Amino acid sequence: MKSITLPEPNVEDRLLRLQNWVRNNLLMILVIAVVLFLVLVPVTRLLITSFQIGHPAFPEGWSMENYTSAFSTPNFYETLGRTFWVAGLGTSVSLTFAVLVAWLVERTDMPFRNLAWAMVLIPMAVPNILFAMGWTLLLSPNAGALNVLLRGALDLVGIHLTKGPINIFSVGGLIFLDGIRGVTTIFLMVVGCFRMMDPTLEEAARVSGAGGVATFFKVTLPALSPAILAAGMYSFILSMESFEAALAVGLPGGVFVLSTLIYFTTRVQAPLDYGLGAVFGVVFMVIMMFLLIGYRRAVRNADRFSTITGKGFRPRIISIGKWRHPALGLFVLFFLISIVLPFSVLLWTSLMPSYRVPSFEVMHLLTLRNFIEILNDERVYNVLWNTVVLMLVTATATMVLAFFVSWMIVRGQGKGKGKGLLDALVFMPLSIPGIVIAMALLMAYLTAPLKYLGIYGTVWILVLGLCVAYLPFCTRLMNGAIVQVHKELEEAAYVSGATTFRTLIHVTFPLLFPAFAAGWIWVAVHALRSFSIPLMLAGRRNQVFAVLLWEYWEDDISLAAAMGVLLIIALIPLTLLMRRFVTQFSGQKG
Amino acid sequence: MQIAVTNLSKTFESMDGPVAALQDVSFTVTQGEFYTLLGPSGCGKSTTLRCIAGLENPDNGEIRIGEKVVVAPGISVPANERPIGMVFQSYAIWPHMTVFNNVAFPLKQGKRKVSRAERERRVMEVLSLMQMEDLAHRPAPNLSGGQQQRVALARALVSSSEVLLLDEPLSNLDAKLREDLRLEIKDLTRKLGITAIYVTHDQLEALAMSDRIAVMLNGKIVQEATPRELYLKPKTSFVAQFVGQVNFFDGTVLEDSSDELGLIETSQGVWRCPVPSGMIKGARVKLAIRPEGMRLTSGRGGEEGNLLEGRVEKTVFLGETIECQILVGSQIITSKVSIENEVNEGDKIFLWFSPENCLVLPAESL
Repeated sequence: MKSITLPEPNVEDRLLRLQNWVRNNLLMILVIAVVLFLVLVPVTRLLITSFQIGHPAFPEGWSMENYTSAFSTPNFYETLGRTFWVAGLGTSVSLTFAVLVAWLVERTDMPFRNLAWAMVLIPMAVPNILFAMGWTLLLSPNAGALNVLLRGALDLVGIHLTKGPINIFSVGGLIFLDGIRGVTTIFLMVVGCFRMMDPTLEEAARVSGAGGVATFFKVTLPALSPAILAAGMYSFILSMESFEAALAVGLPGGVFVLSTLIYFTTRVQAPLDYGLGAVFGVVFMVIMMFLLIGYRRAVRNADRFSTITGKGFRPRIISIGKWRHPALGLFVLFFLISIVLPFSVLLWTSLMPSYRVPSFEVMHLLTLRNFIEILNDERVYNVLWNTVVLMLVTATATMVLAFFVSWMIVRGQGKGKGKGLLDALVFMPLSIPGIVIAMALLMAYLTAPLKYLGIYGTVWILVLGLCVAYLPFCTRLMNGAIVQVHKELEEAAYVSGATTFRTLIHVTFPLLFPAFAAGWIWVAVHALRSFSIPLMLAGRRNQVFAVLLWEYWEDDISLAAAMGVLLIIALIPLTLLMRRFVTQFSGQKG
Repeated sequence: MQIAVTNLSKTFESMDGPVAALQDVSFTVTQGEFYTLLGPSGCGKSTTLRCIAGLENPDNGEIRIGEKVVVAPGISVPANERPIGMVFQSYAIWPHMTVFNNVAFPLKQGKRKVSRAERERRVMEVLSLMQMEDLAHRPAPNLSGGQQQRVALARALVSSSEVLLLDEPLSNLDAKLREDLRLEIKDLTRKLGITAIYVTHDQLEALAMSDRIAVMLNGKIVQEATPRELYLKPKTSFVAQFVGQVNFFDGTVLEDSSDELGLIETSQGVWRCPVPSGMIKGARVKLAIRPEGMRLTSGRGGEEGNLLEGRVEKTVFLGETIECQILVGSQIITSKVSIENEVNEGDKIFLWFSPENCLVLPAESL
């Protein structure tokens, strides 16, 4: 490369160049500013708070005290360890089940495959918190419906119990709930690999003399192991962050994990300790960051393993003979555990004046009173309004931002430092658990200077929180869509005289609209069922359905059940609609 | 409008460090000229065009369109403010609009904006120029490739920009359509008096359409000439073989001569050829002869000129000529002979060629 010495430009020239540069990169500067504001400001505030003593609004000076006190509490280490092994065991449960089920549905001659698919997918519509509430009603040690049934059965064989035998308010309960919830996620991530796997790999094993079972364990599973491992890690990360089950069954049982410990420290205990909470948050964030880096590596390896050729064939179907119907039974069992049982007990409870163990004797108590009471609760209308605003604004804001961000990441000119910065910035929130995002926002908007914006305690702070949380998914969705739009379509607009902005509005956006709509619906549905962020940031004026549900749960279980029933009924069609749209536009799992 | 490109340079980052995409590219296209950038893929022709369009920025150099400097150190006029129309290889027809809206789009932007009635008039006018007025309200994706490229052309022309940039516009079309559109585009630019810069890797297209051609290789212009001159007087062996079929013989100058013919010695004999000045006795050269420059002859002696002896390895009957692969020494050469001749594989033959059909090129040039 030849080096050419240019005459040293004078100040005026430089100013002109700067002006030119700003003018040409206005959109980029604006978008980076918005993303910085959304992501970096709360995280910075969290870090600051972790080094301060006293209330974040009235700090009493800098100190390492929060860190030393956190790391000298045995409870903290115990919780940290528990978070890991609960997530690990939960993921093993989901992984085993999901892989088996994916193999059955894609590679065997099991009957009613479509029905089986539906039975794995529909449980997605039940928010985690309702799933946990349902199982609390089924398995609470004293009056849990299933426990009563089990006690009855044990009575017959001469074992007399007054409690249990199963206690959901335990580590086991937590693992059970997490494990079941992870199944659908992993299933969706691995089912495609089973479908597209090159059948010649298995055929080669069969002609080499391996039997069906040997082929499955010696060839099929190892060939898919990178994909399965990646799915497992993803699910593990989600379990690490999971909050709902840990709140509903962990807290009453005194079983803490990191997310509930943060909630407890900053929202429940007296006095609240923000500094300590911030330290927990920072630790949580760092752990998640490492896990995520590991996950990215695993995914890259999975891509390198080219068992999946995408040739669009359907692999050989394996006959499982007499196991065909028992196999279907596995799906029915999953469907029962993940939706039928919890939904039934919620429905039952919602029709009772207060919780009763299901039986014919109390049938005469059946009533719609709870539903009427909900309709008469004036809070509900406020909550309804908040929820609708939250869904619409979050979906629109997140997708518009994702559209611009993705466009810049995909189409950004040349080396562009801004491009790399944006990519890293929108990826970052993936490593921040929802509960930590919420805590960081809480601290940022409770203190100067951001408290003067006055959005603390309003629905707008929830919008901010969800926006940050959903940005990584939405940008990845939009990245995939933009890559598919031929660059020359935009260039044709520029040379036709259109500005960048007009090109985006008149050419790029209309072409991306289907993907945009898919993302919009995804965000809206997730906003409706979001729980940890709204609960963490809840004030008196900004409650949404999920928060009101929790409030009901704490003082009137049958009201909560009625609310839950209404939510599930609204969510089932919305969730199915969302999946339809989202799978169309990305390899991402909704 | 005249276009002047001066010392355009650009480097790309690649895995093995920076690669020079353009090195000091300079040329001037005069008002109304049809100018072609020809070269193999990766030679920098598209990059040059995209720099003129404003879709890419050179590291250095200057570009003027008419009187206006659009690129210079510290200056880069955005694409949408340059007075150009452009046609892309992929057509780049917007699938969410009708044909009419595709073509009308430029007339709704910035300085090119015109009133609704005027817009309608001009769109229909340019569509009728393309014989596409019947398809105006068709959704754009329902068109064939050829029709889409006509729409793209209409869109590039509608705002009456005086500069038309064409980036391999015909390479996605089938052969017959390509020929038709080739003529159509040439007629159109002539009729409208528009200045056109055309990028292609197809030498036939370049020869058939252009007023002038610049052959590019590795980011540089190797030769700039009219089609005729380029074909008959290529400056390097690369240009010679890029614009048409050619046979090469390695040789040495036996006798140089500035005005008369000189002598070249090759492994196949000593031939009389025009030796350019500057090539002195003893210089290593490449002798280039086009397949159609050779004629089948009955035997040694008789005529003046150069002779070559060989054995026919393969014949391909092409209708208008017969293409023969002939083994000469250890080298296979191609010759086109007229169909009156009867040639069979295995025949021993003599080929005759006149000194005017010989081209002496420097040995180590690209």
